[in-house]
Amino acid sequence: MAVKKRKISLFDILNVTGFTLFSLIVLYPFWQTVVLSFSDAEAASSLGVNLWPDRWIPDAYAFVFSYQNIMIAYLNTIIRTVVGTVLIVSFTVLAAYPLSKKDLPYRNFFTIFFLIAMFFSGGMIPDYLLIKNLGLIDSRFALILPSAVNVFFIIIMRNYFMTIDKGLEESAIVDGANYFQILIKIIIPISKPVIATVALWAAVYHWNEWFHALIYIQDDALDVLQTVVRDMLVAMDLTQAGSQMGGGGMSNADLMLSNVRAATVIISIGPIVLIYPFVQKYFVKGIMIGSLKG
Amino acid sequence: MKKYAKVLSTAALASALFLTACSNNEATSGKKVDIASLPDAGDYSDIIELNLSGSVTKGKAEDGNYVQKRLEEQFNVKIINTKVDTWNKDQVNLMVASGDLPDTFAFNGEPKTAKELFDAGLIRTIPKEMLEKYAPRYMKMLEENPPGLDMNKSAGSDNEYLSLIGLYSHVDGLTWTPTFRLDWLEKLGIDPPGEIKQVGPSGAREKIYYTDKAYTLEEVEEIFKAFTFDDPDGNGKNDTYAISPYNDQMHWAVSLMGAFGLAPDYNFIEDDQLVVTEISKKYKEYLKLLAKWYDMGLIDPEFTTLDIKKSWEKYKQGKIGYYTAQSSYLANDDWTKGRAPQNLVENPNSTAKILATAPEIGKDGKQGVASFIPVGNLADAFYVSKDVTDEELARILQIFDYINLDNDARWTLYGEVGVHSDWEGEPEKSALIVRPEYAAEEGNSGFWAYNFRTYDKERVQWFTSEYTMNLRKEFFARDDVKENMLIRPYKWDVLNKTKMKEMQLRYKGNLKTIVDEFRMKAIVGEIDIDKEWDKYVENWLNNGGKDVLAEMDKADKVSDLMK
Amino acid sequence: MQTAIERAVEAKPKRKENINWVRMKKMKMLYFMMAIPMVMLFIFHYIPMYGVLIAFKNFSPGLGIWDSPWNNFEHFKRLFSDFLFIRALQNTIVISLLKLLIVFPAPIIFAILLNEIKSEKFKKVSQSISYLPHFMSWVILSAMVIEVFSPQRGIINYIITFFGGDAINFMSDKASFIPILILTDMWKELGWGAIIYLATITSIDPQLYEAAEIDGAGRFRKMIHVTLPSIMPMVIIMFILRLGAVLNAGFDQILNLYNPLVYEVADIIDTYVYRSGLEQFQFDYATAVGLFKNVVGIALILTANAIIRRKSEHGIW
Repeated sequence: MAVKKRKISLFDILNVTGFTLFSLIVLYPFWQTVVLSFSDAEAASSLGVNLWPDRWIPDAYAFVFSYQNIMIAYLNTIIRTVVGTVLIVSFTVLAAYPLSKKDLPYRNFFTIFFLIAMFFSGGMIPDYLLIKNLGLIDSRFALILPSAVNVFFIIIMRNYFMTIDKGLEESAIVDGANYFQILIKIIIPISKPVIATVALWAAVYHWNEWFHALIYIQDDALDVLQTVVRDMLVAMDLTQAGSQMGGGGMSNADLMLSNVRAATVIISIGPIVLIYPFVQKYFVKGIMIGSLKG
Repeated sequence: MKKYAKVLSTAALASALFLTACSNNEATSGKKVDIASLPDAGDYSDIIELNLSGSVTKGKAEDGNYVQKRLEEQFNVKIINTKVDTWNKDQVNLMVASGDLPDTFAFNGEPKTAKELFDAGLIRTIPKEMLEKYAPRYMKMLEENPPGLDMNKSAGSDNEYLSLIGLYSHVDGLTWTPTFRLDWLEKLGIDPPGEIKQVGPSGAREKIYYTDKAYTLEEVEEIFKAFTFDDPDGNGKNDTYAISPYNDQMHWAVSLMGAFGLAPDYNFIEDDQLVVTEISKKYKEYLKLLAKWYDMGLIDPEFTTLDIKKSWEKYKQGKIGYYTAQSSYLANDDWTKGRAPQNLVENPNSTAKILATAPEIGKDGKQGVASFIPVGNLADAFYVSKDVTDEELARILQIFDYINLDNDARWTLYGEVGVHSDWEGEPEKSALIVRPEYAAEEGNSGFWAYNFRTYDKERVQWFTSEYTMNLRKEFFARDDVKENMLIRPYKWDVLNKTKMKEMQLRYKGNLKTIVDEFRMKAIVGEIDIDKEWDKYVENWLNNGGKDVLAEMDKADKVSDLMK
Repeated sequence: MQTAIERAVEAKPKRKENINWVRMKKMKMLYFMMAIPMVMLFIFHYIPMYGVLIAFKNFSPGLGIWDSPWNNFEHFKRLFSDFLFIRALQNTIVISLLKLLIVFPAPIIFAILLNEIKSEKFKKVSQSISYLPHFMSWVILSAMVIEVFSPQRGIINYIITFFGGDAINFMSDKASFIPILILTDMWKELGWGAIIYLATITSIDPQLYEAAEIDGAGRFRKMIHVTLPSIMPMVIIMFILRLGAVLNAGFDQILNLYNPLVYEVADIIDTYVYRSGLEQFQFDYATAVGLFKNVVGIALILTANAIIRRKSEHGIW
């Protein structure tokens, strides 16, 4: 089958222009943050738009990296993200595949079992007591286990599995394969796009999650990046309260507040933003097939 | 070890949960303490394990820190550091909700009243006899600061306290005062209201002046007009504003309100009736003045989207003529860097000058600023957990009394002067600065980790620069200034006789929403103040205001309390 | 063995339970697969669920959840007698529905249009850029949004005044605040939201496009008749799940953008609860609010699912 070379239509021009414009609009705040993170205090405290710093200064980054345990926090976040993502993806696949079988007896019961958990939670207090009673306070497991089963992801993946051509599976069954083999050999390979999506979602969730870390982790050695970041962003707000409350010693002068904030943001989102191109190939390749044929 | 045993028992999870939920149900009140059977003050023969947290702790104190080791040795205790960030609302919430409290604790702000904490079974009472025996300095402080001895008593008891209280000498006197751009005044040919003095010789303080005289409101209006329309910065553009407030707090107007005799959230007698500031006729007049100024274009219209920080940044651009300041702002103390108004002159190249005056004088000669604390200088609360035994309490009180009220205990905040910290200027007359190799707060040093927010005059000196001290002496905390310009509520309940605090806490959110919305809309002219006023007051009263007011009315007169 | 089971299935048993039993045996491996996630879910979600009881009690930490006294739905009565809560509820619904109407379809259109881009590099780059703002928190973004709409420095007002108009204080104007909320939300989440649809588009069988082409379909017809129907099941699921969150109208965004002048239209349940300090130490009341939101959410999901099931075979169950 030959791929036809087609003329560039008006639609193509509009489409490309549209996406270019959108990219610029979207890039703006990001760029502004980058600029701010490399500016000096003087520039940072002036309101208005700055598209290029007067001078590129790495001071804000130096300040952030001098913060006591940011490197440990980085490492902890990476560990958490990798392990947590693997766990979420595995459990999502394991639960989604059976639920995608329309002829599975009592399927509705199981679906509802999962769904209810998505909508009702006991809230912060019983969650905390549970973690405490399991002895998971100050343990990495407290960050990974409670979120290991994500019903939203399960439903999305289940739905994807349901669109897969039944013929593929049936022929495998005829060949004597069991369900686990089918899952590994057939379903997973053709579901790479959705698995990549869920993996991305899970990784981003674990990367950004701070609340569990905040309440379950007290040991500095286990702190994650986001709590340190929040510490830096929020603690600076507290200098205001500090003076009024009479915390005499609380005098972290908020020099270069906006620069430090900006640098903190760049540092904290950098790695997770960079993994995207790796995941992206699972989407774009597919799209390429689609559009080539189209 | 315990932790691993628990992991193994996950099978018994449900029952474990049930136990946790039920096990916290022992009342601690009503038991008579046998003081005689407790050890003498200073007798530390039994080693005691204490789970301590202070009132400014961020939970960052490292185990085995300097202060901890010294305290353990001195009082024969084993201290377990509580790794809770008391500034973190969520952590504190959980700590409270799960009943998982350290032996001592304090909150930032007052989320619940002492009575509510006691009723919830979280805290124990502190017998007066034990305070007399183990915390003599604290008792002396209470005696010197009436009505200290009568505050925080448990309901229906004359010798049981629900919490310990702090002395807030650092907020003695006026908190805020107005400032004007002095260079603008000079350029426009407007004289200062009185003789002016420099705050200090260097460090941008030479560009900040103060006077104990004030402008009248009429004069202020004329100045504001000149600031806005007469091109005070001489750039030929009409781009200046007299005042750029912010939308999240009221500090920008405290002295303006004072010219009407008003203080946010306080109460006074108007037409023989107790009213709260926000629903008083005077407040209405004050709003009308602001609305008039807004209409005249004196107020920066962008203020509705500025919070206090953005407002500082805006001021720094040099287009605003008026701002309020604390004494330490004027003295350009370290922790105030970046705040308006002194952020404008921080830069050595800046030619701007700032003049702080006494609060503006209103129609009938009124001038003043809300007192930081409604009654006296006592505030805050230090609680003892319900699980603490009398023996433990005895030791806790002795530690408390020493580290917070004995000024020999300066090392708990700053270590040894010359080893851990140094005087900023003249010894004993300027602030103490912790050397950078030690954590200024907590960390390996443990400074500030166990202390409570109570500061007598000497302690205040430790964290206050000499310039700030001088400003306080010369004006902010001068006796006649305090006498004439501090606005206190007419009635206030500090003796827990009424439900005032409970009502305030309960309705605070809704009442603030109602007040904020009305204030903003009134100022920007979105509503007609006269037309909407009655509806607003009614709304305020019907959404909890009535209950708050009724309880306030039952409270003591502040003037009686402070006798 | 496999064949034995197959035969058993074929053997037309008399009763339904028998069919189920045989099928369950045949599919037992699937149950094993589900077992671990279900156990995890039971431990970490079902066991703590007793916490919803707090919503019906006067919670006292000293007494714990079980022993705190029941309070005869007092929290719910208080909730619905508070005019600020009612206002917040109305605002929440309005904002949320507008977002559902405008923000929800945007990523779908984005994904379909991106699929039409021919240059591989351009596609990759613009997709990578599009999802960047998702990672910026509203604390940071809000400052920029407020700058852009500032009456004195904002670009939009610059244009307005350049053409002789009067500057508008957009962020404090009730009429413009909600459109700004919708626009900025779309701008922030568009690229991120499109990922799932892009993933779904990749699974479309290329033969469908070929067949359409043979039928003489142009690009637009292929978009409408091939791409869109193929991603429709995913769209429906996302829609139903989104409905369940209809009482979450964007707490972080609004908290960072609003001010008292626009409370009237912008104060939502979550910001109201936040400002009232309810989440602080009033666990019982806050739990009641949370429960209310969840019940509304699940009711909407059930309804939507039922309606969609009647019209098509898609749906959550």
